[in-house]
Amino acid sequence: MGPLPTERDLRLDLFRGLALWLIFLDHIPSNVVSWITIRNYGFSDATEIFVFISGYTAAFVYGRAMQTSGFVVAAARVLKRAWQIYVAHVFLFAIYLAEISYVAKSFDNPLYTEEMGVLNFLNNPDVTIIQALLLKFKPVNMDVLPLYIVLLLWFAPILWLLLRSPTLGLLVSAAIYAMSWMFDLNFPSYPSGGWVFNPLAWQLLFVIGAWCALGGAKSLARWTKSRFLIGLAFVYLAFAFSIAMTWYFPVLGAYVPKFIGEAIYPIDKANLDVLRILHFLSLAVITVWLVPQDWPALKSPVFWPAIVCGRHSLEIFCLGVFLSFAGHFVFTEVSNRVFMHVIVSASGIAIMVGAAAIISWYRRVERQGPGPRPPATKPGYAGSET
Amino acid sequence: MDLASRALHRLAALFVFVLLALPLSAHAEPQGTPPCNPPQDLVRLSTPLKQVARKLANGDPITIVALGSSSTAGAGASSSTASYPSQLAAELQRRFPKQSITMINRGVNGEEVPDMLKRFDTAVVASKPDLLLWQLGTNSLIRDHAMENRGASIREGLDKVRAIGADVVLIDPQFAPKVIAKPQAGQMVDFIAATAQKENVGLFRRFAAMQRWTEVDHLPFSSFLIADGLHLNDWGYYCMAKGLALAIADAATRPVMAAGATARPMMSSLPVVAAKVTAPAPH
Repeated sequence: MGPLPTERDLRLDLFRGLALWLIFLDHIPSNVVSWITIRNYGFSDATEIFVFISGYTAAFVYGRAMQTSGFVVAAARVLKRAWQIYVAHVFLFAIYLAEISYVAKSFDNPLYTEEMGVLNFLNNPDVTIIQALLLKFKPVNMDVLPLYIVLLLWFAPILWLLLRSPTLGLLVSAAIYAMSWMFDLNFPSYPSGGWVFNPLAWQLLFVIGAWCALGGAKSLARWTKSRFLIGLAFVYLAFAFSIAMTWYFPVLGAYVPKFIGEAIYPIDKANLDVLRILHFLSLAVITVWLVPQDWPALKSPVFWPAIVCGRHSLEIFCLGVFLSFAGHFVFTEVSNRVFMHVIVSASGIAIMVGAAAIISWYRRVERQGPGPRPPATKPGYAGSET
Repeated sequence: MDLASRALHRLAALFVFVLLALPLSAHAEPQGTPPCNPPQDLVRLSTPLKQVARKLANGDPITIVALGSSSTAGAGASSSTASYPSQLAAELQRRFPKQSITMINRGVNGEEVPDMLKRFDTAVVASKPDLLLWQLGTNSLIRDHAMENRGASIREGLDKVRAIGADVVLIDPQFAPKVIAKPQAGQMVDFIAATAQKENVGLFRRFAAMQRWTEVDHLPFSSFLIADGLHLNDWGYYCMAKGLALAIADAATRPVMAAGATARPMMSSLPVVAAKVTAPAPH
């Protein structure tokens, strides 16, 4: 495999930023504004975008490191990144817990703690703290980062394999996915059940992203740019859209032939149903066709807010989780008018963009600032790793 | 590009098709029941349950009467232990292990409010409940019977229970194809909500909570209803009972304070959620 390109694809940041916004909107229960998010119009949602792009960028950054510095150094950097995300997760856990307990206490509404899945922790902190650190106990909406950590933990070997034989790497990943379905395998959760995002299933999308970054997308370009496949993608999206409409207009459900209903349901999010993968891939094929990498508008200020959020996705994701509970609390305790939904949603996104802009600015200052520069350990443009 | 790597890329393309076919076989695997997460913004009762709270505080036995039609009686459930009152009793017992809780199921298939009122004294009052769960509206709706003139009947029933000091929670119709096929479904839900608010009794918003199962959790009707498109299955009753248990436990343990007795955070002086008792935002 040849050397990887060095130019960062702005589309990755753009769509990851958009995904972060959608996750924020979807995490506020009964948010009217979340009707604009893609989960309402088909099978897949923002999680797929986030995981795929994370796999893509991880392969892009660490693949190059593995080519230039070797397996051990690259693996160490991947693990360091996993550790950073773990630290962020534990930090977010503490803040989130404080936020929820404070609101529950101040408004005499213990239902918040139950709804957000932290009651167990508040009742038995001595037992649950260990389970939280082991990533087995997770409050509601805090499932993405643990998935990400696990995906990175085994990323080095799979990346090594992908660099040697992309096909074999993909096959191994698909085999794990298939096994998790056939034998109903998942990581255990505390106090019961499995992970909301089963890493054994979701790793497939992460690896597909990595595979695309390592040249897979190029080698498939002949097909993905073909009219036939783009047409097929449109047909599938239309199918998913018509099924999605039956969720909101149940009368339409009568037109869905019984065998189709029996074949597609349940559309399993925890185990990344194949219908969801196909839906995401269809979206990706059409997006890549509509938005070329060298599209000049990508550098226009219109897309800057989303791009800057996507570039600092870890921080912005954590902030989004915090903000979506704040939004939930505002809807419940202050006002539940549509107007309020719009205000809360818009200001949440504005806060995310503002925070991302500050982080961006500070990174720049840190790099260019006067005085002794910190040693440049990170490779230039790909510095904001994942 | 040499021949080997070209062949490899061919393989990769082939692989995508294998990927399509692969989980088709896996799809037949039996799946677990969907998770049940009652949304607190929907299930929370707007009024505290004072009588139940008193009994809980003193450790006295609690009697609950579940009055209603088929979805109280348990039509669609695989056994009587899977009806919503039975599962609710189990869920409440789990929450209050030391409390003696008696659940009396007074659901009769096909009944409407006037029918229930006829047997109200024997079915409800005679049992001296601390809490009445009154599920209503579904049969009137699917038979196109107007609900407006039922207002007086409901009030008559409520007066009787309040006379014996019991708390009341009204339960609105289920979100099911046979119910939503009726153009007046929204009106019925609103009417029951308005009645609960006017009479200052609790309201369990079953319609809105179940609507969320389809719209947000994307569950097909077949996962929480039986094939008749009207009655809940075991899981449906379970999740309904769980939400109701949450609502009851909260409303019965909510600290009741005299106005101004305790310093409250500033925010709570803001207008209280108007939409709590109205139907969910239209889509």
